[in-house]
Amino acid sequence: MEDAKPTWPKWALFFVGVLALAAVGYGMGFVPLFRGPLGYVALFVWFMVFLAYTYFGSARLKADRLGPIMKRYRRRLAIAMISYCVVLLGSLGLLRGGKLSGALLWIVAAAPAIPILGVLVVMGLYLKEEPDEFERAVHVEAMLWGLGAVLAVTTVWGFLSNAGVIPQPPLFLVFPLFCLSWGVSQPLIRRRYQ
Amino acid sequence: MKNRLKVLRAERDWSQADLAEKLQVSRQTINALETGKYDPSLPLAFKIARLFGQPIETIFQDEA
Repeated sequence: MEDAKPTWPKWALFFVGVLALAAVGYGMGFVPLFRGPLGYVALFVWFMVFLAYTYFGSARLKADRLGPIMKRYRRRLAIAMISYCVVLLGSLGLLRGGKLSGALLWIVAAAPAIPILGVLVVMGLYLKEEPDEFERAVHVEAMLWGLGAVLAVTTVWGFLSNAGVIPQPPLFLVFPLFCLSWGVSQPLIRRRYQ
Repeated sequence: MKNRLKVLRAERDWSQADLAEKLQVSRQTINALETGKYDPSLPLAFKIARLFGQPIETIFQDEA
């Protein structure tokens, strides 16, 4: 490959940072100070730091191959994720209050799913707008790998939980699992074409 | 599919990035095309042929 420089050490370093930030977020759950209303503020701040790190970090690493369509996709994705964080924290706050019932309870409980459905729309728009057929092909294949990973994990988990070996799968984690395996499969797919 | 993209590009003294810009694709796409690991769609193949002023079959060689 022409002017190829090994970028994987930088990517590895980037992912160490992602994991470290995720660990900080997880660890915050154990701090008594963050159990109350302060916890919502802390979670929001943590999420914004996390998002900024992944957004700008990946932009630096991908600098040479971020076309205008990819940039627009990433902006839309960031907006969806920020709304997700706001709606999720708001929904959790209202649900913990425990005073909701009926239709309002349904709406508040389902609200965090709306920005996530927005992410699906954003992904679809990207595939529709991407003019580069090779980029599109890589993304579609990566999505299929993501889908395959989700089906494999949830099927095995489903049978195990049917037998009572492990608890029921947390369904809301299916989407992050899809995104994670989608993301991880991309560099592997790209390697095949080098 | 084998192709002469790399030769044609070198003849014109274009970098992968130059060719990518002319075809409105990414540099990775040019790389995947040149190594013969990704076969372009007919519209992209025609675009390439027009750019180099040669028929498709002189740029891409069918091994069948």
